[in-house]
Amino acid sequence: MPYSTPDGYFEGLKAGLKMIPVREKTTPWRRYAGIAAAAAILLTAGGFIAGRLSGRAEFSEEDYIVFSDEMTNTIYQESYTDQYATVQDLTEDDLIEYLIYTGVEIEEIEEIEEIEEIEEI
Amino acid sequence: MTDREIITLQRSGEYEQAFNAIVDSYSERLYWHVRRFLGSHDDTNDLLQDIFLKIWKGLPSFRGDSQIFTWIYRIATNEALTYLNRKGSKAGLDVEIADALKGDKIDEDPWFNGDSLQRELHKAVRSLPEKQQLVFNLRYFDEMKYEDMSQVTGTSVGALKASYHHAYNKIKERLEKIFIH
Repeated sequence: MPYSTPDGYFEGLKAGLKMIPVREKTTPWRRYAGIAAAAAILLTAGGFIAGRLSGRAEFSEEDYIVFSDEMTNTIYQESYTDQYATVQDLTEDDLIEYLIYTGVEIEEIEEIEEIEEIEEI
Repeated sequence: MTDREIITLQRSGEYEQAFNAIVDSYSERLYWHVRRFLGSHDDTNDLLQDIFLKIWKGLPSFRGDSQIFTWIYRIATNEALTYLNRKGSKAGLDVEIADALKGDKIDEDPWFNGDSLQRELHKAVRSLPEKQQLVFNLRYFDEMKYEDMSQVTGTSVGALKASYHHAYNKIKERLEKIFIH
């Protein structure tokens, strides 16, 4: 061939290409962890804004109990029937349900949770 | 490693080992195949990453309907053609003008080190329409059989022979004009 390449190019090329499977195996973890982190930020921000708009910056312990009771009765129904559900309606359980629904293995979800716990620490 | 051994690995679910074997056996061949198309070393290097990513993603679903080498060449060829079309349409060039300009780019290529005959041969090849260029490269440089070329390009053997004949005559005519008259 009348074309040339930089010295040692093919050795470097092969080594780089062999990293593709390694990169592709780790990428989904980062993506799911990224989704979970983004959703957590949105939930926190959504909760804060909703609190500010309703004029209630803080909730009492009783409020949390009432809310959690209502959520367990309604959240599954809403998440499957209301395709226009807003971000504020999402809980961690919803995210897990969604990940399972989109084919993510339970082990992978547990690993994401472990990553989040480590990050929190 | 032979193609048969690669397929054995693929069928037993050893995808990473099969992929690494493909890299060892094919990366250099595909580099030259794509380089002849694109001309630029940097463009070829970038595109090879995409090609091998497609090979990796497609490996589990390779069913062995065709030989692995025609499957790999088909991916590489499709990617190269798509890349050229994208680049041409981005630049807003007419197809014929773009084909003509491709040949002249050899003069600017710092990694081209052939003599004047090779330079003119490669300029002539690269100024052919893409399909003819593909057929000529596969047949003349890669010495591929028409039956295999048919699997790579999805074109009949008869049409490939006609296309090669057409490309060969165009190149011959151009070189004769430069070196004989």
